[in-house]
Amino acid sequence: VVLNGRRPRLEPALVVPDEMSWTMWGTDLRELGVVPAGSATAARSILAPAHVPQALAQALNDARRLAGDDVAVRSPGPSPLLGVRLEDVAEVGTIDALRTEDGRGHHGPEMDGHDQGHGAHGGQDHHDMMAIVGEPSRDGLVMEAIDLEVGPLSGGLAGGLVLALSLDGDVVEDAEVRATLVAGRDAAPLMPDPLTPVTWRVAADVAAEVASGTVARARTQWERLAALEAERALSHLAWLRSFARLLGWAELAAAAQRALAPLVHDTAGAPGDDRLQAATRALAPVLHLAGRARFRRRLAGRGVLRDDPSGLSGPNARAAALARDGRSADPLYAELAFAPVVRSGGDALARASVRIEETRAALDLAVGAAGRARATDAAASGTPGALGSAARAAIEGPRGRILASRAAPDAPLEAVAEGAPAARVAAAAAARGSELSAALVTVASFDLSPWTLGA
Amino acid sequence: MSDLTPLALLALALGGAFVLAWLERVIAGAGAGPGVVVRDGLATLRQPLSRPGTYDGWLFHLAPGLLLLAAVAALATVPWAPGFRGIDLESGGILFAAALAYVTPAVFMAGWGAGAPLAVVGGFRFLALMLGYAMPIAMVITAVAAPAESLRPADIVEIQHAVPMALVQPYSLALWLPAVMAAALLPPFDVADAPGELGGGVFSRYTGLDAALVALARRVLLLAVAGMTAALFLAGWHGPLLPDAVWMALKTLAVAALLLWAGRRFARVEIDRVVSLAWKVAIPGAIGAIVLAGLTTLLFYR
Repeated sequence: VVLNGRRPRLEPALVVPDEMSWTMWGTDLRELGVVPAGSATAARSILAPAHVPQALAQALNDARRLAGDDVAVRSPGPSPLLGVRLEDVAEVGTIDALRTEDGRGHHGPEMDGHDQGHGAHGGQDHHDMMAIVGEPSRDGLVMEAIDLEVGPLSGGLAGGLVLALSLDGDVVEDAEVRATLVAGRDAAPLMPDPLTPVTWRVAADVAAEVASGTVARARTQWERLAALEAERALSHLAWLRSFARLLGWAELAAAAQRALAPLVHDTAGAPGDDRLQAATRALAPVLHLAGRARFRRRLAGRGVLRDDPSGLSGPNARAAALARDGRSADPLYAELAFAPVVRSGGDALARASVRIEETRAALDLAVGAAGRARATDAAASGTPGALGSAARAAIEGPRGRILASRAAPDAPLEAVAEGAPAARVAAAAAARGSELSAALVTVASFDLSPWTLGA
Repeated sequence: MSDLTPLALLALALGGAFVLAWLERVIAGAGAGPGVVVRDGLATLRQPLSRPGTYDGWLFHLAPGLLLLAAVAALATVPWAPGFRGIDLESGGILFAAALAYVTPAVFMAGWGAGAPLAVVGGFRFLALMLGYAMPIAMVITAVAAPAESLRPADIVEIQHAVPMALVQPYSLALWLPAVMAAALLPPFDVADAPGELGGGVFSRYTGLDAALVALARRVLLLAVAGMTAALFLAGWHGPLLPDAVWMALKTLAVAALLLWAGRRFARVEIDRVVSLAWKVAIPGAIGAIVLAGLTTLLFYR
């Protein structure tokens, strides 16, 4: 990004809910001269939506205390979130204060985790953190378990997710993934998952057409397909950028940033051909880095699925050898010679590989669909069954298949995100028994959205 | 050592840290000129000191000072020019390793003092890392000292007037670079603070003067290890045409740029793998380096 012929000055900022959300809402933070801060104390400003959901508002206040009360807070652009007005956030209180009231121990907040310390022993001096009491663990050492919560504002996970860990030393004994955001309460109506706004807007439109017994024009169908695939590429790249930051791999994060920058667009429209071509060109270094031995070595064997993968959907299922992709049965995708990307490892490497390969395929599909849209007569009637339009909207989103229906064209959306609950359970199960950083990498590799997991 | 040496050393630490902070921004593609470094430093200093509810105040506020002290002590042992060095001991090389050894307790104190689990985990990680990598640093210094038959860094520079040690002992350099990167808390060995993962880890609670001291200490550490690398492996001040000190400064900057660039090229190391690598590869490798250095000395330096 070059402004006035010069590189912008990038300053670390605390980003609420996270960088990925803003990318999906059409704001490229680098154009605002901002990169996500590695820690709250390093933040020189705070970026937050105009309305902040309650759970995030409390976490924001916690982080703000560390960043400094006089640090500037600003809102970078429109967001689909609902909640407390940004000006009033300071009055909401903090998660930390709630914990103290609960008698669960007072511990200072940190951006990347709300430390509960040894929660069950609230109020004890911190010297006991590693006290030699209790049962010996697997390595023969006797340690007290440390309860720790990572999130809901965390660099590695989507904002709104909380990873509750019980640590034995630095080994994760128990893990649970929770979502603090609720679609109906914290985001605009018709937007069950603000992390994939285009997918849900298309789902709502198709569901309305099903309810009214109509089928969209052919050109509209191709335009929708192009927008969906562009969003898939953007979502996967935004995930990869966060994932690279978690891995501490600046080069990969920068490459992902360069590849996704042309795709960031106003959610009302889809990127044009020139932007898709620019993204395709910028994707080459990402593919190169992801093909390197050091990428494979870092992720292979990490976060292997413990459970039966049959409940999963999307890239998480396809990384576990399940050739399950809603696009396979779609007549429009068949015209574009679509073939699902499947890997067999069931580990973090397989999940990353599926998303990276799907990014390349999605850009090709988007270019193909945009071409068809241009070549299609405006009055031509659409294909029944495209995007599930025969019975209900069935759309393969970046995180899995979503099913949506409406009782009437203007009725509320009834929607299901397939695989989301199973992914939450699988991510926690796969994290157990690993070292702390491996556990974080494991959970991040599932690309969970806090919006579809339920409260 | 003149009366002005401590002042010169202080100026070197501050000036060097400033240049390296700017170099860091350039390599990270964060743009902007040196003015931003000053502005950022002032912004940090304006923050009030943090007093986390869980902390051990004594350890917490002492750690940044100890870290800076260790960094300056390491810096003082580096031979910058034929007549200029802070501490000129016969065993200067070992003093450098000893100064770096104090980084470990400082970092651990920072994590333990903060009292937050992620900070404590960061502290323990660094302890485990440096238990493995402190020894290779001292052993490699012994290996490069063999041809000079002296542990005084200035003597090691002088013995390289014809051939830099990087060409004579490339294996020692290969062992040295990761070890000093670990000691200087540089990515990809930044397991103690791990931005984006531990959210700042051991340094996550520091604000104001504490944070400024930590930032300064990290740059001085980088300056010290880059300077010592230039001295021990790249013939220090030796070079044609330019004055001695300029050669040393250029080589130090080049090494620092290489270390910062390498940190961006690799994902952060995993603590279990890197500790295993230290004990299974780096330490046996360093013993092998000493043996090879002995043979090289007998064959070519006598």
